Amino acid sequence: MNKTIYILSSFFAGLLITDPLFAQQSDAPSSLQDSINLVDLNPSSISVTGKLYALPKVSVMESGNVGASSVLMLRGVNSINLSTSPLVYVDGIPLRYTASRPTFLSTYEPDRLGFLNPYDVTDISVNASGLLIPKVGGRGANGVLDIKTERGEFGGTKVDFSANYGLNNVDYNVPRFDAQSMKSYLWARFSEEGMPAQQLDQHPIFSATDPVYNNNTDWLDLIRQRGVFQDYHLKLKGGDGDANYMFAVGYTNKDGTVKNTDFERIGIRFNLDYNLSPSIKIFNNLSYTNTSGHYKDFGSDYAVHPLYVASAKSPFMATHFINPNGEQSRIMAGVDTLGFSNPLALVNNLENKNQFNRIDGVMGVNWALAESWSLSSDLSVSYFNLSEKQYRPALGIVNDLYRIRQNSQRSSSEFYLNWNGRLAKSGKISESTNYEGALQASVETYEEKAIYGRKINAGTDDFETLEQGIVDSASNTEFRSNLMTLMAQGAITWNDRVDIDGFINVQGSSNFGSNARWNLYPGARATVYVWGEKPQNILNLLLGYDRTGNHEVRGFYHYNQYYPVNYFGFGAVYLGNVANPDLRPEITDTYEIKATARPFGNRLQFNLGYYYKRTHDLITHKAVVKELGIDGLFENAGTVENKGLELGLSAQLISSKDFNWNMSASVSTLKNKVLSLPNGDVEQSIGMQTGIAKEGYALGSFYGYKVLGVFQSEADVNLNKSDGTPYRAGDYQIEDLNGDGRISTLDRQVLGAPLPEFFGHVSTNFSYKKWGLIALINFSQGADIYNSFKQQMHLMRDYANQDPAVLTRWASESEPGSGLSRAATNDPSGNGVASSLWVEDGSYVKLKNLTLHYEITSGKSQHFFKRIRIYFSADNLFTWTNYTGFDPEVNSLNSPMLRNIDFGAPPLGKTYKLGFRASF
Amino acid sequence: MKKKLLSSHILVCLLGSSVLSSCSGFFEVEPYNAVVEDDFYKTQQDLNAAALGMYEPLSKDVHKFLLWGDARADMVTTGQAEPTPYINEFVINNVSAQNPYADYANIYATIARCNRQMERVFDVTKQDDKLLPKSVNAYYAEALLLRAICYYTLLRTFDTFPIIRSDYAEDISYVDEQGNTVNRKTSELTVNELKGLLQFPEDKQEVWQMVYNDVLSVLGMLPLNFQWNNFSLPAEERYGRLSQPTAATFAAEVAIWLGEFQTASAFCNSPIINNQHSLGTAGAWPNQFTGSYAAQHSMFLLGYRFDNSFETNRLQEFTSNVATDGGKYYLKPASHVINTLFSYENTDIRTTFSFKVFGQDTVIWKYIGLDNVWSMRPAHKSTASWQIYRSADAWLLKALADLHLNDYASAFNFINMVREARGLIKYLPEEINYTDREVMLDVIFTERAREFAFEGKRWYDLMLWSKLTGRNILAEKVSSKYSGQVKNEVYQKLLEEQSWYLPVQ
Repeated sequence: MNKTIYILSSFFAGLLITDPLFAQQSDAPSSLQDSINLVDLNPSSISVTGKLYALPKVSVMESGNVGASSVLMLRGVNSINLSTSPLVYVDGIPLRYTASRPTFLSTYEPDRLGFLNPYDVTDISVNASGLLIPKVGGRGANGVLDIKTERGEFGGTKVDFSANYGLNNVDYNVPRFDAQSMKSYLWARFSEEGMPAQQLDQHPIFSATDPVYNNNTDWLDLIRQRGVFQDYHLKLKGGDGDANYMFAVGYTNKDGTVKNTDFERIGIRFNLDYNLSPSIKIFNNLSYTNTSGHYKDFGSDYAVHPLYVASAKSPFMATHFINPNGEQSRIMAGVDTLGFSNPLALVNNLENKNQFNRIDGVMGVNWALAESWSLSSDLSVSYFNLSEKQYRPALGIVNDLYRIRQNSQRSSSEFYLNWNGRLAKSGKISESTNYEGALQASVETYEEKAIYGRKINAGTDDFETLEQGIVDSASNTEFRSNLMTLMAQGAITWNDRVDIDGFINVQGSSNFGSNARWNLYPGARATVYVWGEKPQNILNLLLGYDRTGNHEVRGFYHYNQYYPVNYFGFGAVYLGNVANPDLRPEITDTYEIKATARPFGNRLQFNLGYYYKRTHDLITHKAVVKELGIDGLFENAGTVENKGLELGLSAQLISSKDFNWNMSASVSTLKNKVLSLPNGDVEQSIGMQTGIAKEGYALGSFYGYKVLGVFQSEADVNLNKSDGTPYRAGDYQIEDLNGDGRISTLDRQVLGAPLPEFFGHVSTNFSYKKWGLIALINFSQGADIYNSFKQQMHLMRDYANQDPAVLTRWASESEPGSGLSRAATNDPSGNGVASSLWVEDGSYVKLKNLTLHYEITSGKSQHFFKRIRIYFSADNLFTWTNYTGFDPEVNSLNSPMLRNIDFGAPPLGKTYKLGFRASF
Repeated sequence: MKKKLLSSHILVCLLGSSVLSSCSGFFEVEPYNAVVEDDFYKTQQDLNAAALGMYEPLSKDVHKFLLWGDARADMVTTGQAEPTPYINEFVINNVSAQNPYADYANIYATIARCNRQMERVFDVTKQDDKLLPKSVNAYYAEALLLRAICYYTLLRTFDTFPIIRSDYAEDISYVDEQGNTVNRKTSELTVNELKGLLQFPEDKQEVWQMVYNDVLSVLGMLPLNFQWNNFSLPAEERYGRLSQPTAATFAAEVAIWLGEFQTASAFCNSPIINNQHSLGTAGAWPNQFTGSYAAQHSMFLLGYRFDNSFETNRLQEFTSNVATDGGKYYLKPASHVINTLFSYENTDIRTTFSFKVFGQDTVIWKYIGLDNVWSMRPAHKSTASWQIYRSADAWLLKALADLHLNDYASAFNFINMVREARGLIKYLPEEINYTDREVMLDVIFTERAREFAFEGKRWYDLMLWSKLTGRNILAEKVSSKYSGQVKNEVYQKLLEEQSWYLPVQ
């Protein structure tokens, strides 16, 4: 009976769906691959990316902005205009880690791995190159995360239940004026701007009695909350030898540290393995996840950034309307006289909501044919839908140009269908030489759709949907991409002393024209077991080369394209892209050498590798003279390199009956340099910040002006603005790079690089009898951060509450202050441009996780449970850094050009968590 | 049984893949949000949409036209206490090549779209046999005329600029040093090669002749009555696109620059006798700015529609002093200059509508006002049309041409017609020595300054005035905007005709 159900369910699942498990099966665990068993580390992150902190090679920056995507990087960044995030396989289903659509709000990227419950995951392999995943080909240039979910195992039904409850706390102590000092600051500002004393005296803001301006409101305190983290996960595993299954249900809920931000996930997963006959094995996966989240705009749009507005809003204002009798009403206060929104309206009324549904299914078969031939095939289907909504009412929130109220909605979906087939044979050539060979083909189709609409200025704040208002913008986009991969693979092992593997991957993509559609991605590696035979060798040496690509080009640049545009209300059309039929993927060649030593058996493993990764044919906008009057023409031109050392260490320091002590550590260094850009520098901007790709510098370096000081007096001024008029005393003195006496865009320079020089982790796992202690430390050295939030708190261009440091601004020649410019409304001298003043060193060492656990094992078999583990853990307990912002783990965008720009998103904060895990 | 099911599964997969791969369409995915070449330039609708697309780059740049034609001249100065440097460069006549507002890229975008339209327009006749030959000609002439207007703008504004007369988007044909005609793909040429291929005119006269010849050939091709392919154009398109009266007015203006006054006078007759154009009434005059267009008054303008496509320009930002409306108050009228130019006797609608004084602030009212009292455009809805030619152009050009033909009476009459139409009383012959050319030039250019204030024309009027008299009136007038030492510096600088033009990066 059971068998019938398994078979039926597997075929029903198969109708939908599948997976290439053979990729793992054919590749014996190698020293190249870095994976961990994930049982021990349970960070409070909702995403499986939280587990990457304990892995080598990969740099992770999670965000306290709950539900936002972590920023990942494997062996540097190697593209300007395409994605630089790794490709993710979840049980063989490929997933683009970064979305290709623009973000719905300024910088919030919903985590596309959020659907995956970390408790379902059994293994994550970090493949920094395509060497071990030859099928990746044209999308492997940024590395691959190969994630496996748990599968059933032989034996009676095992039930695992885990529950976690945690609290997340952030101390938002942004330095700012209190009510009284804010008033004296404003008084000084107004009088500097020439308001006569008499007028100042009568100004209502400075009245000692006006109830509207005599409050003491701690805005930050009003919008923050203690974030609750809850996670419950139930897992059933079992099997009878012919059929093994794993069934899991999980629920996760995490609140952010700002009111009304949260993330919720409900997911189920059913994995089944079934032996039809001794030689035929089928496998099925089926999972469904629903996640939803509420979030705020913590990006470059400071007008609605709750943390910024709460810091910048005058503390003497009240949360609610004050009537003429001085009584507080129930109605929330509107936008104040100084032009600031009510932070309460931003957290309570302005709503950004996400809803995400994903279904994945895999069905596959492995068939051991006669005489060491094997055939495998799988089919997988994946579909998800993401619905994003924003409701922005008028009360208490500043207008967005002519938009008093707005309701926006975007619904997007991605559909993916993939088939793989593989024929393999292994055998012996001679007594001492084994071989393995395989042919593989796969076909994939991918489709993505999005519908977006925004209506504005509904009659009242009551309409939270698109029902009322006028259409402000609407769009309907669709993208389709087809991919075919043909692959041949071979491996020879001689005497267990030398392994030689090689492959050729030929991949064709519909993203390119027929001239450039098919590309070759070969790879080869040789492993020499220098000292001792495998697998008990003591020292081995590996040499590898592989070629991968980046083919996520979505513009169809191989076609001449006519784009729509409006003129005078009519639909007009122009030639927006000039075809380049020869455009091909960006190509990355990786060379690596790695030595692994295990001098004391499995007690100590030490490895040291070096990689050199060179990416050429970067897709860049072709520089044409502007007189040609065309704007779209892309070509392959540009080279960037990444290189570094990768060091790994793991040791079983003590291993006895009662005592166990393990340690592991990794360090990766990174040197990134743009080698050539024939089409010139490329700049990308967000807010006021610009990232640049410039020959000789790291990709995405901060670009702006270098501030040398402040002009102390008019006599001191020796520079002119671009129009030839002199700066004023109190303006920043900017380095005049070209020495023409004028400061113009030609005087911008590279101010810092957002990429670390080295990063890594140290973890230790200690247990004594039933007690255990786990600690994880992460570090990163040398990455600069552009602290935009801090700049905003020192800008003095409007009447925002500021950092008390602005009291040391230049006020007059007799009070030249100590380093900050003069205050000037609307900043006529451009003192607030992106400059070296706000570039900080973002190096840090963080105690990422500390867990204390206690095990209760049942002595007798008739006990209700087998094992219970109770643990208490703390995340982000200590951070050692000189960075002055919230958190040196900055989460801005998964964009190579705009990394490490800190807009003041919530930091990760300290999370204390209590959990238990029971096995029955 | 089980084995059978499984093998059929595999079979289906393999079959599926071979079917997919054998199908050549597997890799031929076309963009969803754009039209590819194979599907475009097939019908008259395509042609019409491409024609509208030619105007779009210009409509994004009207704030630059205000800077080029007015901020540099005598009637406009900076509004901000501490002016924004890039704006101030125009006001103080010290423009750097890096100034983003001195970038002519959008004009060349229009030129490129015009060139492509001219090369494709006759292909469509082969595809769409409903299309009448006269309409095809009209589309061709529209592109040619718009290109001529672009070169005319470049010619009077920039120091050096290349002439591009064919579609270079995909390939470029040129004659190499050996005298062979070479055809190369644009995508294969480097920036330096492209720079080497750009054809710079020998002198400005060459461009003048090209512009003049182009507009002359257009005159016979454009239909007189806004009817293309027997379809009457909607009102916005009549004024937002080029027409025969615009061509005639433009031809007259070019002819005056070239000293061909007889021809200029004759061309002016075309719009003047056309019953779609007249001087209109003083009451309707502000409608040219408050509405998208004004029948009779309007001739050719760059227009914006907010209600369904959210098109705006930056004129509100540049001229409004209301920060909450998005006004940056970059530019304002130079009070002492406009006070001497505008008439304060009687009620000249242009005096009450062109600018306004609010307390300390004098503002350019044309682009932000909705009536001549107080009403202003709503915040961030800057949709005032940018006038390129208006009916009044024809009347005042006629006066200018006839003056140089020594037909003083006619010149005098045409000026009086304009004055009367705007609410002023006629000049009497005994009031003005109307047979004195110098006096009359002053009268005509003053009248033009009132009529076309802040419409990006003053600088070029001063250039023309200088050319017609042989005296550097531009230097004289523009320097009068300043005081003190700057006044003399600017005067000395502008005495050099070379410094009248903007530098090119």
